[in-house]
Amino acid sequence: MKLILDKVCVDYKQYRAVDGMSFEMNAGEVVSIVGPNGSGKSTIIKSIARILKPSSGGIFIGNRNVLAMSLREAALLMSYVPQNLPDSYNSTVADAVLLGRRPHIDWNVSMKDLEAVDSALARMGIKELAKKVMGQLSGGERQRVYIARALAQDPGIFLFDEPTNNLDLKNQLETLETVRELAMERRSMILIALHDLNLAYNYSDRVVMLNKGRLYAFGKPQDVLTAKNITDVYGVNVSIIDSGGGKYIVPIKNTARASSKALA
Amino acid sequence: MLRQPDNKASDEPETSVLSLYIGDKSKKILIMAILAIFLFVAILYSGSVGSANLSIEDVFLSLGNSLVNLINGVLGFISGFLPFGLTLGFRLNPNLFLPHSDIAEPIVMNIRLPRIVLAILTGVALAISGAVMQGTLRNPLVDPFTLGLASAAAFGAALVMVIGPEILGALFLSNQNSFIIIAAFLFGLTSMLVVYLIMKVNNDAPTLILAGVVMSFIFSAGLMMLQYISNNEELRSLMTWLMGGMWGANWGIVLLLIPMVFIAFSLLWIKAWDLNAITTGDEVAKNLGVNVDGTRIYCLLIATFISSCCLAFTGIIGFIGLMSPHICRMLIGYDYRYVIPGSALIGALILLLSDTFSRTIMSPVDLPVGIVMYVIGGIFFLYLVLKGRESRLY
Repeated sequence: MKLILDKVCVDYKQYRAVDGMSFEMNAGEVVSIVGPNGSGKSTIIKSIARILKPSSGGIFIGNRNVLAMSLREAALLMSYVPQNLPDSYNSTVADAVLLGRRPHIDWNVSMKDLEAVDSALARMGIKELAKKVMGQLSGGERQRVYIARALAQDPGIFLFDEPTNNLDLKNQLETLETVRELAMERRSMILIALHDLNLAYNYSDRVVMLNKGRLYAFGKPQDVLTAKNITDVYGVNVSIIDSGGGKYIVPIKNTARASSKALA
Repeated sequence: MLRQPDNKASDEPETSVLSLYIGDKSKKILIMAILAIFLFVAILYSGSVGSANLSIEDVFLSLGNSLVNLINGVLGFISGFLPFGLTLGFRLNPNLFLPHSDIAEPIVMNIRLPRIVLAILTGVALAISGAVMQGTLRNPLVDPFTLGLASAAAFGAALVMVIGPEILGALFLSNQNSFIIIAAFLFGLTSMLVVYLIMKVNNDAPTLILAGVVMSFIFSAGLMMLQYISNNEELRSLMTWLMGGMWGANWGIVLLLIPMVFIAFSLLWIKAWDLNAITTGDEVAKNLGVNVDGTRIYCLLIATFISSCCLAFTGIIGFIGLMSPHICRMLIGYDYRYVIPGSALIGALILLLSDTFSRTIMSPVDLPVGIVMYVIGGIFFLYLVLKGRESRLY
């Protein structure tokens, strides 16, 4: 199975947020979308998840046209994990995860639905939170609930919208470890909008780099996240350092201001 | 030998979502059954008190006797249509529920029951409207009153009462109830349209409430204006709309409203899962397969319609739609499959008890129930604003 984006354009009222985006990804693959603020990372994720409507172009899963499906059909194929913002919603964790079964449920909750919730909670290690209220959770716990809901939805594709925002270092790493495991265990396709270039470098199979709504580069992390590309897109000089088997992108001090002066 | 702490932990029974869920479900159904019993007792009590005090037993017998007569009437009616000279001989024993007092049945059936049923219907309509408004707008402080819908609908009804007879003449007089409902709905819809547009531009909780309060002021001003210019005969009925009361109850209105409330309830109830999804946010709800904008408009339209219909006959009744869903969520949680029927029961119970209280507390003076609701609801609203979040009301 493949996810294919073909010349997707998304327009907001005044401007074009995504312009002619095309790329493909395979099952079992983790792909990160990186780019500066406003470059269209979340917009792409949301248009695949059927939250935003592209103004032109096509999105396909295998040979099925995502944009022509009913919302419910699409919901059975992909789940969207939202940005981790404080949630004042007052339902219990179990109910919040049960909502992931919405596309499978007509009215009554079946045994199968409850088992799916149970195993999703167990998979994320949050069974003991089941009776807790969403509003009382920490950021890291909330993130696990969101992923558990996506798991309960039981799709082939997971779409993450900046999953590491508002998380501390440990939870950031744990979230991306989980993401990698999902790709391994379930052969799921995982697309993540990410801010942090180092996380993208070390946790993805391939990286989509955006610049002002256009695809700037697409390929293996070491080919896309080069010092030159980062300087071109972000306007920051960086050096890439080897450490403990991983590669790390380190900005060189004061270059951001220097390069914007140079532009002016 | 020392016991391994790890083994001990794994010996303890795991909390299974399954058992949690099933236990929870029976608890919810039990609470609703208890509420239904309370409502039935409240009906009997409300039927017994008033200028002529009846025993609760007589009220029960009157209701039973009317039911027996109704069933026998229907059986007789069917019998009359049977072909080939067949007759349906079976009838319920007419003395099964004979009240002890002769005056009991006429008082209960002709005077008190229509009013009781109107209070219940209005309570149900406003409570389910409040529940779906709070859900679709994701704002715990909204209900038909705080959004200005109540005042708008009452103004519409009052306006057509004052100008209707002059403009439409006999046509109005023969279809009075329909015209009142249509006018109330049109004005209610206008107020909701304004609120919806404001929400589209700037969806934050305080803005929406302030817009609702302003709408409320404007339409209340309209009601006062009508009262000021109208003649003495109309004055009394206009007072009803301004303060809210169940004086207008009669079987004609009640029989018109019963099917409408029933249909509106069903149409909203079937959307329970979509409402559950919307409360977690538009984006997640869309990804869960919910047509968010469509559901929002659908629910708001039905809520507007059914609350306008009831408010057209009762006048401004505040805060029922605000209180009932919150109390319901405290009792049975956040699942709309239970919140909608639960709120309906609680709304009916609160409004029926308040109306009974207000017509007996200063007897023989019949206090408008709207006044009572303003006081109870106002205090509840203040509590929600100040303490609601801490107490997990929203």
